Amino acid sequence: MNEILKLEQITKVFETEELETHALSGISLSIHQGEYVSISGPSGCGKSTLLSIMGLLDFATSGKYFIEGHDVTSLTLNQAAKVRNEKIGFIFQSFNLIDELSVFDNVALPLRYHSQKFSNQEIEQRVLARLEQVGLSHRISHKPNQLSGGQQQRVAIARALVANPSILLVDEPTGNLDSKAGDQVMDLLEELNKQGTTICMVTHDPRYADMARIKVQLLDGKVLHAPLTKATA
Amino acid sequence: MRLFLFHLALALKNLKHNKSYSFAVVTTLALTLGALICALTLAFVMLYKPLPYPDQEQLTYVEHQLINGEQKVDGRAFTYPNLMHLYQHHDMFSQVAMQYLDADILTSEPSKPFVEISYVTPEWFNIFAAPMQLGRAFEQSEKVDSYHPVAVLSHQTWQDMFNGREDIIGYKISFAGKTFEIIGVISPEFNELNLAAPGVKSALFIPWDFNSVPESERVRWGNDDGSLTFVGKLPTNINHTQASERLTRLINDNWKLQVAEHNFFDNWAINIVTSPLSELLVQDNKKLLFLLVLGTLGLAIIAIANIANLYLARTVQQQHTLAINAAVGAPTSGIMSMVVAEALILLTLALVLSMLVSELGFNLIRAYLESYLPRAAELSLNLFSVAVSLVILMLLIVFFIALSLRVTNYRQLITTLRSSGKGTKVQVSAKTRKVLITSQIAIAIFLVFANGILFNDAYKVMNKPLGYQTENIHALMMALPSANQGMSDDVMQSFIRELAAHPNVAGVSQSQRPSAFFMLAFTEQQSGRKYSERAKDIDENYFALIGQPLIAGENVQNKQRTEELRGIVVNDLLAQKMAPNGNVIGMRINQSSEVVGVVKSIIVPGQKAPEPRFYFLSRASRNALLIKTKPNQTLTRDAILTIANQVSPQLNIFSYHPIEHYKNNRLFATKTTTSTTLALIIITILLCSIGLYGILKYNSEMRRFEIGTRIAIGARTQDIIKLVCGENVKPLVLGLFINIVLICLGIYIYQDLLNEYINPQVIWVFVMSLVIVSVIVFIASYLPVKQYLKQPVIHCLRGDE
Ligand SMILES: Nc1ncnc2c1ncn2[C@@H]1O[C@H](COP(=O)(O)OP(=O)(O)OP(=O)(O)O)[C@@H](O)[C@H]1O
Ligand SMILES: [Mg+2]
Repeated sequence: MNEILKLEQITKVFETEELETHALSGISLSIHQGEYVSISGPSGCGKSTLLSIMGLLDFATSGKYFIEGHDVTSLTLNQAAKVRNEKIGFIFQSFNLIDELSVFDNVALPLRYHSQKFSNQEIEQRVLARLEQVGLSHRISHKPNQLSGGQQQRVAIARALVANPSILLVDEPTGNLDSKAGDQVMDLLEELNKQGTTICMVTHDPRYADMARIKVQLLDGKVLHAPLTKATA
Repeated sequence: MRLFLFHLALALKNLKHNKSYSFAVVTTLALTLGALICALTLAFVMLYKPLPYPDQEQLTYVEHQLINGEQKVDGRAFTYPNLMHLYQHHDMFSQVAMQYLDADILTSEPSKPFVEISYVTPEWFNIFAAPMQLGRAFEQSEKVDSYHPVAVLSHQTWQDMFNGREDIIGYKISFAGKTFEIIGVISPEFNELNLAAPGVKSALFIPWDFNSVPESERVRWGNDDGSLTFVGKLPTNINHTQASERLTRLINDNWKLQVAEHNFFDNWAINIVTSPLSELLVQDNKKLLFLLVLGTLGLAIIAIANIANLYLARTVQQQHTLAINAAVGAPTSGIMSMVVAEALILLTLALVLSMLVSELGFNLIRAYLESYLPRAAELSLNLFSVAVSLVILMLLIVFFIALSLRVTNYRQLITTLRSSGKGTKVQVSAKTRKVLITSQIAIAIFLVFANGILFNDAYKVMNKPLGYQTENIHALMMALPSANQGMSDDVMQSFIRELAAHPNVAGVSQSQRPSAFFMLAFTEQQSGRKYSERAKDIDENYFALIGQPLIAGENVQNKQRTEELRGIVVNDLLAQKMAPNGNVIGMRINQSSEVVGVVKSIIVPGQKAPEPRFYFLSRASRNALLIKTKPNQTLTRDAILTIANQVSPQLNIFSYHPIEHYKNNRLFATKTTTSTTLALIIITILLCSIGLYGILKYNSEMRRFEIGTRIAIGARTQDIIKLVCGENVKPLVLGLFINIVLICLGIYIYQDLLNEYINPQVIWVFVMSLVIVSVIVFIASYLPVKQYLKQPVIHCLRGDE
């Protein structure tokens, strides 16, 4: 089975004026195609930090990081942007949709930044397909603030998927949602995984963590408990 | 009210914490509003403030126009006999006075000071109501033809030259070989208005009879002299059209009789134009005032736009505090007073400072521009400026309240708290931001463009090659032994020989400085055509000395001074005018002259283009000399005095200056324009940069998450730069469009005023202004987002820092 992400001894140190925070100390982890991984742990243990390093939103202090076998440990910011665009779909707790853009344009955004230039027709096709997939094809010309929280998060998922990334990185997708909307989003993620999407999700809701097949527990920047993944098994 | 005071105190405390914000607001406003108040006050004083003299609305200036054969105005100055005729025979004014302005050396004083002297008739003191500090003014005993040798001092002269000594009355001073007894000192409150040269302050007042016009000239009907002026009080029942008509008849009829035997003046006439004295003073300055008000207004608007941006950013920064206050039950008015309190403190402070700034401006204007702006002395912080400041303060307060009302929606405030998780924050509406950016860009383009044009124009004039040299050349003017007795030929010639023999001297020419010309009329004999052109008397050394090249024919020759027929030299422009397709050399001028040569024209410093001119041989007794010293050698005033005394005790120095000095004087206005416009361009660019940076920074601050999200999705550096710059292309294009419309409209409406600036270069200046402003806009767009592009995206997505 293809290995998509591989982290080796990743550490992250935040240096502020007075103190150093060791947010991550020596994390090794790999994720394979089609897996559904959850990362959980108490608040402040480093979950978001880990996920943003995996998503190339931030860089590790030390350690090595590979995506699909390529070393991405020390990319320039623009190289990182290209990898994010093509390989990674990121879903944020606060949705991060752009208010001025319609639902359609929000979803189309990654395609516009793609190194491969898509024709308008292709873009429309792919965006509509993704919106269909998240059940929002009837809302394409709405503005994000005209949607409910759950709908907004589904738009964000469509946007994360539109460039056919190798993996979806999801940080507390239900943090800003009520339980019903949260359940809907989780169902959608599960459905996507069934269709073959690789997912790595941060959550501290044990119910949702249980939906993942591989559960990683973090404590104080270390992996407390990681079941053997299929590859190592 | 109690609540408002509480809010004021709170605001004061807040402002102390936000020092850089308060400083930016107060200084920008104080400086620009100060300049605006200064310009408006200046315009008010010049255009509307009554002259500080009794019955000022009746005070009338009389212009004497010499109309030539082609019915064009040939000169605007009085001839001596016409002025006397007007003074003696008018039957319309309730009071009239004459004034002649000149300068001379007070030979009685050890320092031999050179002073401005006004020769006036006694009524002058009544008309201008000159208050006396000591003694008396001129009275009947000093009326015309009384030849009573007395003098009145200005307060300044009394203080500076005589140390304010109390026993000054009765003291005797002398100049030009005559002695005058001091009978009075004018009080310091007096605001002197010199009609011949507004801004010039006389040191000394002498009765009219002693004016320096020689007896021989006093009866010449054809020679006009700009130092002769006339002022009268016109009864209110006569209007200026009637007055002009009646006076024209009075003067012209008499003049025609007097000049009947001179063929030269056939078809010529005199036209008299009266106008209110107050109008005379604004004529030349309207354009300057207009530009000054426009320029400062533009700067003030840019500054206000900048501050509005800062203020909005600050208000948004306060939203959270306001929201909490609203949540705990503060009423709408309470919230409003919180928002307004800060603005009120800052604006009031800025206004007070701006008055200080304008007071400073008044001092600068009085010190440097007094000789250009006749009423500059009356400038001070007056009721008008205070009223203007208060109006500006009110307008600004209303503007800022309206602005905060737009941003701070009370109802929305509470929801901010509730919905804080959902990511919708209260923001300055995108439309307000767009309007601010666009207006700022439009004004900046305009100011840079307008100043660019003035700068370009002045710079060109300043750097125009003059066509002659000024290095090592001094102009020496010898004092005449007495007003009515000329210099003797022999004395002057031997003085010149002695000077030329001095080891430091390279050459001497018996001529005035190169930029001095006077109007002279002549008739070309063959065609009988009449000309009235700029002329100058020179000797044979002149052209070589100043390096003005002769391009055809010969130079004038000193030996011809004794001959019947003398040579004159014309410049290329006059040659072209007199003989468009023939040879000018050999043409006869009047009875006594013949054109023998053509020289290349020179530019008089400060002038845009050369004019037709001619040069004729000076008299052997001419008292003006140009002295060229050898390189690195000088000739002091004392050395000249020593030589002069050896030649004749009669000889005295009137003035001695390097000709660079005159060049600099002539270029003063141009240089002032160049430096002021350059300064204004720089200030505009600075203000505009700060303002645009401020608003665009605020803009990108607001869009931090959006930009972060775009980067997270995969936008590269260039995508983001393209995005932020691209968004400002629209305001830029709009600003450009507004400018094109405004400029075309301006040119259409103020065609006469702007005509001299319209040329193809204007387009380049416009393009340059556009480029400069665009560069600023793009840099200001890029800088605020730079921080997001130079570090991992996560910093941008997290709300901290
Ligand atoms: N920019 C930063 N500078 C300094 N310290 C930081 C920074 N970002 C995170 N940290 C610290 O790193 C540690 C891990 O933070 P992280 O956000 O990854 O926690 P988390 O597991 O996501 O917590 P939560 O469940 O509350 O979201 C925390 O102790 C935090 O204080
Ligand atoms: Mg977290």
